[in-house]
Amino acid sequence: MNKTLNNKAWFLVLPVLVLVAFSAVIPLMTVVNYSVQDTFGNNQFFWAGLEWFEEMLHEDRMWNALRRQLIFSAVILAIEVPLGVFVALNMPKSGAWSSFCLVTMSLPLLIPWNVVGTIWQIFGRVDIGLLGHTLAAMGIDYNYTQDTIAAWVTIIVMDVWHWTSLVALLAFAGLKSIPDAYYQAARIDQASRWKVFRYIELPKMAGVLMIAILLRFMDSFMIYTEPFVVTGGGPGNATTLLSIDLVKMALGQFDLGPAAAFSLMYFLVILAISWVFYTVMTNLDKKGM
Amino acid sequence: MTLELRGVSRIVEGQLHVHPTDLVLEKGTMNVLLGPTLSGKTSLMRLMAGLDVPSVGQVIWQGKDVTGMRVQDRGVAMVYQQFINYPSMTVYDNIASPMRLLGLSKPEIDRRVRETAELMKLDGMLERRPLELSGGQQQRCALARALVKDAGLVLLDEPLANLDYKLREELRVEIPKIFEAAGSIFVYATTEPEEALLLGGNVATLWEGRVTQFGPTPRVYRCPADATTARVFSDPPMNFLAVAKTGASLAFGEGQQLPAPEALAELPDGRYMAGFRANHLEIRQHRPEALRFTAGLAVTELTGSETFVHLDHHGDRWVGLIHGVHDLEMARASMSGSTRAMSTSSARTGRWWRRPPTRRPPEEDRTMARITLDNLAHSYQSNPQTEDDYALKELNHVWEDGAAYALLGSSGCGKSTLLNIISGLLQPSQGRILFDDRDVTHAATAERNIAQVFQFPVVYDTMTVHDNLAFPLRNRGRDEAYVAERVGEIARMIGMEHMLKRKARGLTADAKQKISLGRGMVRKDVNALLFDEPLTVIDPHMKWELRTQLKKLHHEFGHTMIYVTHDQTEALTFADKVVVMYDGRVVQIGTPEELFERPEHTFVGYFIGSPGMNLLPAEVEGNVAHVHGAAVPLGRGYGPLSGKVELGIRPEFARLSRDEGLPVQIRRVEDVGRHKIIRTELFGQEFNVIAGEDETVGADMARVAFDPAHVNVYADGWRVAGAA
Repeated sequence: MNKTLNNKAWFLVLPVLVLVAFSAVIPLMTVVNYSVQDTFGNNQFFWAGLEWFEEMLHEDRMWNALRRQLIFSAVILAIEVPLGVFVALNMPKSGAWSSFCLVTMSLPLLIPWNVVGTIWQIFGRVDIGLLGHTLAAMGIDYNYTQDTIAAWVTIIVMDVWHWTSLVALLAFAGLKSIPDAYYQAARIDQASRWKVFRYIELPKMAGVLMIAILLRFMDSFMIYTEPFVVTGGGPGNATTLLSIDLVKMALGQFDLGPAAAFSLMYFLVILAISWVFYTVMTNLDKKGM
Repeated sequence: MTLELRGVSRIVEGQLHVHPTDLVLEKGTMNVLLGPTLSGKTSLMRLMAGLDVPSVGQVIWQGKDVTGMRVQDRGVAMVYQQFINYPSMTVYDNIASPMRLLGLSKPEIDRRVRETAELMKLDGMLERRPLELSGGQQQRCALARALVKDAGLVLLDEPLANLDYKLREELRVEIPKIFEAAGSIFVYATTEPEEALLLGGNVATLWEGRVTQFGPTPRVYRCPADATTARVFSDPPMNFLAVAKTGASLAFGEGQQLPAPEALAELPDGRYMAGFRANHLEIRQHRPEALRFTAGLAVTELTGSETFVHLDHHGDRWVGLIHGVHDLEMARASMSGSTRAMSTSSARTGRWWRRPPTRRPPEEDRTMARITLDNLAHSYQSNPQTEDDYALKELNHVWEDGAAYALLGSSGCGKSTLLNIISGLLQPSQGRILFDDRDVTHAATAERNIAQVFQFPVVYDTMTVHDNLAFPLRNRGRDEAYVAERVGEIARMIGMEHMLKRKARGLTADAKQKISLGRGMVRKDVNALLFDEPLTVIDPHMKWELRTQLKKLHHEFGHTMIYVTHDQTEALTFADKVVVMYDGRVVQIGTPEELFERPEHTFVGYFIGSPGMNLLPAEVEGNVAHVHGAAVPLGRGYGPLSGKVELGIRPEFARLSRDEGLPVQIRRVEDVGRHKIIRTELFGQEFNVIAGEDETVGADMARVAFDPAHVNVYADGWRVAGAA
């Protein structure tokens, strides 16, 4: 076989390179650019070095947002994962009911984020919302625009409502892949329901559950739209999560430098966590999960 | 047209998957890659097809270097273990699809589809969809798709592994014929030595990524180049023993001497290993030069016509395959044998000791369990109307306590349904099931105290081997000291003491299957042990080991065992009584010997034995049958018979002769190692004869004679007992 040796083939990857450059590299570099400069308007920029990074690291505001963010992610994971698994375990395995459940479960996943936000914003309003009004009528003091706890409960319940089905569907797929023989063997061995879960279902679901946890963690860590629509980060800063804070800083106050430094650090944290997840998962794969 | 591999090797992530290999495959040949799971058969095939690129070396196709060429451009066809067809297309479109891709004309496609379909016996079902076909037909469809392309290279990766035993046997006979007609290069991967022998052609034995020998199949079988090849190409496993050569004599372990045969004259003096096959071992002095050896008898397995003996010769495990059924519980038998493999031709004899009497556990540990099936039937439909709606037709039977039973039949015959009813996983739609006198028809699985081993090994992955074995005991709240003691005992029995501490995940299939078995045996109070095709995923060599172990455990503990399988060898060797099922009905229950010699139904005759019983339409008058006008003497007298009358003659009880019996034409002679299968035509009908390994088949042998005592008479499929 005669092989033609030249480097023209590199031109074929050019369209992709251009696309990636415009969609990712240039915007990212702009952010990097802002993060190391200061401006006083008039499009005049001054070199600031790592000052913004230093300032942001000493800023309580970012640490508070990060703390709220971690609490939020931890709480929704702690609720959605067990709840999703529980739902999956109780779903019918086959037949028309199974299909019906699957479709019903996937409905919340199809609703756009800001619509979800709007739904819950209205749903929870004390004056006209079904939930808010009912609670108020029952004498429960619930007002997410004024009460920190009520605001937190609202955004957490909203996220659980929106995303538990994702965990449930993934767990369900994992459960479906377990051959019947395992359950039969367990019955013969007189294993209790808990042991069946612990030694058969959980190990077989471990792979998909890792994916579910990863997806839910990343998503919740970057959440913006829904809490913004519902609470706008309030009352006060009570539900100001990382990305809400970032947008306030960048667009509300137009502090480009600090916001850029903030977003780069945000990006690095997410990258680091993804890497940890990835490593854990590939190691699990190697062990044959 | 040749395919040549030049120093081809493949390394994946630093691990050598295929050792440097040189191989030349010629046009129109059948090349079998034989080796256990993970020995590199599939890797080698992928290299041949161009699905993988070799790390080193070249692939030459018709003199051209095609290393690294895309598989799409290579014109190869492949058939896999799973039946891969397009489910939404008809059989016709499935077969036509590769030619449509090549852009052939419509009439051309039509002609070739019909031709190939006829060859594969699919002509009646061209309009059906693959999922409406049986497994065998689906695989035929996949084969047809591979053949129709006229590809120069056709690769078959264990194509029969997922089929029933009997279907496999039929396709094995057909495949070489089909391939002769096609004229391409065929490469066929298999784990089964028997399959390699039946396919003929060339064989390459593989072991740990290395081709140990390549050559014509009978030659590799008879003269394996090394012990590894001999081990790979033997089923039952090859037997070995140490031998020393001094000058012109060979000395065996116990002082037996033998003049060294001529072939070994050039061999320098020293210590060697001699190998001999199971069928070269005899239990009596069959030849004066045979040598005697003393060995301990571990287990005997009786098929209907042969006896497998598992011997222990000073720590070496030997397997003997002896013609006929031998009751070896008699006091000392002596054994003789001849070795021929490894190009020695020494012979020997042996002596073994009486098998220890079956030890039954003390009464207080055992729960008796006679299992009674009373009027039992099952239908998967909620409102069954006709008998056809029943997956299991009405059945009355008593399983005796402590016996080993096998349920034998092809898939869909109702054997798993019956097993699931016994284990309580399924509630029968009618009838009762009793354990002794207790009605357990509606009792839950856990209450029945049974243990079951499934087709695919079920182990708890995250637990250690120890915890796996302890699981059923701990669930029943037994104290840890007792658990530890039992687990220790069971681990010793299944030979897994050394790996109790490791996690069950990542163990091989046979190790996992041993754990499932151990988990079943760990409770002393099990009423019955049920097996649902437990050896399906196990390599042939391990099958032997696991089967003997089962047999041994049965002798030692005397549990009632019920074993479901479609493999007659497994059923016959395992069971005291075999239950043959067909279409939801039990057609015969009997000892292996009865099933072999007196099949009650033609189906039993066909299903048991390979090849199965020959059937000849005949007219019977008294003690003579007339087949196409020729008289055949019968061992018994018969009254007037009604319906379709047939003679059933096993290939083992027919022999070719020059001047005696009915006239036949010999079609082909298949050398399957320990015997020959002679395919003949008798009055235009296929008729099989089995001849011994050493018998010569002359062209002048134009007649076939039967042993009158072993000719059975059937009326409408059922055996008629004659009067002596």
